[in-house]
Amino acid sequence: MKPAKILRIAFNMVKANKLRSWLTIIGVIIGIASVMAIVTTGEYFQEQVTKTLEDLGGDTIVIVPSYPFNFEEADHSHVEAESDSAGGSESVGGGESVGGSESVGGDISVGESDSGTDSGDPVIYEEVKAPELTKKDVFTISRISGVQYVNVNVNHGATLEFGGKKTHVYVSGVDPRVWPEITNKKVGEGRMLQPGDRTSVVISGELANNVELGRKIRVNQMILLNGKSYRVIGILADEGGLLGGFGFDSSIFMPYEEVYYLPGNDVEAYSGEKKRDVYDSIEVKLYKNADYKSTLKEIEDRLRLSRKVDEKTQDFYVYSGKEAMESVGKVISGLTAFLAFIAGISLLVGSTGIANTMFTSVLEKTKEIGIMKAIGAQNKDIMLIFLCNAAMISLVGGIIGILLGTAAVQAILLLISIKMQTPFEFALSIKGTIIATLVSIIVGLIAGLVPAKNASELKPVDALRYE
Amino acid sequence: MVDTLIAFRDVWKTYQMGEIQVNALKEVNAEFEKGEFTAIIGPSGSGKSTMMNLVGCLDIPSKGEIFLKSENIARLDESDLARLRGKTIGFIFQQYNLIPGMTALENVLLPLEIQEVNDDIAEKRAKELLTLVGLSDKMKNKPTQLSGGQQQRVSIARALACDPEVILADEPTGALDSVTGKEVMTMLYRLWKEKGKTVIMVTHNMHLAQYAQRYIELKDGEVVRDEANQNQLCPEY
Repeated sequence: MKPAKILRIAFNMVKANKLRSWLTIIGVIIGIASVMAIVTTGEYFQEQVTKTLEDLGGDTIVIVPSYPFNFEEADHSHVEAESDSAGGSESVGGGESVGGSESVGGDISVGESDSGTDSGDPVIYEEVKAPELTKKDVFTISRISGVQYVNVNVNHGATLEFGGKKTHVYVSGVDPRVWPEITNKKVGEGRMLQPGDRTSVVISGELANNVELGRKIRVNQMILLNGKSYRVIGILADEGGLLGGFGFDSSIFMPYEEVYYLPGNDVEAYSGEKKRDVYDSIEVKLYKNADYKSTLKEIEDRLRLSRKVDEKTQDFYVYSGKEAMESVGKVISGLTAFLAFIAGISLLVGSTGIANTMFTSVLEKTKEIGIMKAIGAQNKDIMLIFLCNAAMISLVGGIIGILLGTAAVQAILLLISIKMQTPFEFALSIKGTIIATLVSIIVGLIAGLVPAKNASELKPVDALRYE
Repeated sequence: MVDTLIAFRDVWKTYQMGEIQVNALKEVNAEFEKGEFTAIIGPSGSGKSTMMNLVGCLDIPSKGEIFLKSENIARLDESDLARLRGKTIGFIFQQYNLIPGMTALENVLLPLEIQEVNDDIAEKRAKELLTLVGLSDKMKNKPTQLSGGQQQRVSIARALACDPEVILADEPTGALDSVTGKEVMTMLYRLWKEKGKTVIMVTHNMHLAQYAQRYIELKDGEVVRDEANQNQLCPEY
């Protein structure tokens, strides 16, 4: 029999039992729509979180100074060793002071013995020198193959004064030769920092429009930071993403060397003048074709070597945005898969509905199957008619399910965008659509296969006798 | 020279009814010649329907051989049987057996579509046949909108659709009143007489059997009489 004729007969069968067909189709719609909605929402979240993390650094590797994990143990052993060597002034983090910086403080004895104790020996504490990142570390990292850019950050809190009004800001000192190359931020007005800039700053779009200041800050206007005057040379464009509206990041960027000259501020707790050539963090960007994992490990190993620390006494921390992104991505895909599995159960129920309808249909059509066989229809014709019938039900269910699922996703995203105050974006997962379509056809075919096979294998003589 | 179309050789058909074996046909030998009008007669339970199912390739024998145009149907698989049925045999059933969801025209078109006949040719042929049986004005009617006689006429048109050599009629007037029954018999007679079709009719009605050239009488699954009808009736038309 020609495929067109088979399709017509199958379509007439669907049409002949409208109510039953629609009830079955509704089952498929619910299943497909839920799978579709969950897969698309999951993909949207994954995309958004990745985008947000990319905005926060992406595949940039950040190195920050940190105290060793076994700080107390190291400290204790050190104090013991210290008492033996009668008060030398070595730093905890290594045998020598890094990058030419002087050790701070030296030994001080704190607190005599408590009045309630009889112990005569005074307890001696050594002020632990805070780990620092210096030029030496930058040099060490720069020499690693695979490293493209190394940026340094020196951060400082400051009071901004503009037009007689004040607000508190967070100033980020960056390397003007490198930062414009590696940052995801884009200039909205004016220009980026350049080598040779001195008292120039780039400010965030949010700060430019800060309501506390009463009026908008424009390019080339002067602002005061802790009383010192700076020229605004660029205003950054506003960012999207889930964290776009949170003001999570620094709002003023200037050449890092300038931060050392920023006067102290009596409001900020940590506002003492910054120590020269000491960085709060180092940002590393690798070449696109570099082996990310091995380079990451090499950075850590080389820094350990140059800072003369081991795994236990390591006084820096290497943070990889990419790894964080990957693990968050894994969590979201796991969650999506789990939810899709739950939604898949409703799809399974829908497919059982198809099978049920098909079995009923075969029973109902037994005599007709007999007649068709008597007038020459072959087993494969009968099988195809019933398979097409099932496929039509599931395909119609699938298409409506995809449309409904897409509508549901847009509703969810609209709610999210209202809640998170982010702009609404239309999202349609191609993967989700393909999966849903394929699943709907496969489900229909599987559910229709057994009934169709039963129908095709009916003996004409028995089928004709069926009442 | 006689041209044998269908031949039964020592045919047995056995059904299992629980633990009991029922022999519906016992060592039946018979031959149906091309262009012959045969009536298979006998009381209920004599094996008429079983014999008709075997002649129509709807079933295969438990033992023995049946040759349809020199092909042993006992050795054919279901698909080959279907193909052979579709091309060689046209069925007319007692209960008409039309597809209720299809119109008269669609019912007649169905065997042509199964045989993948070109759409235009198929439609022309189906319309011609419906006109031939006097239903040119009822083509778009569904079976429920037709009388018993009209339904049986659609069924005759369907049986003729693929121009089969054999017309197999199972109690064709069983569900009809005498006047309509006579009309149907006249059609069958004319198909045999004028179109040269081989007609095999199963009936328990001796009066109807008189329209046939030859009787095969069955009793308890055995052929008890196989002879020419010396007083063949000729309907008025």
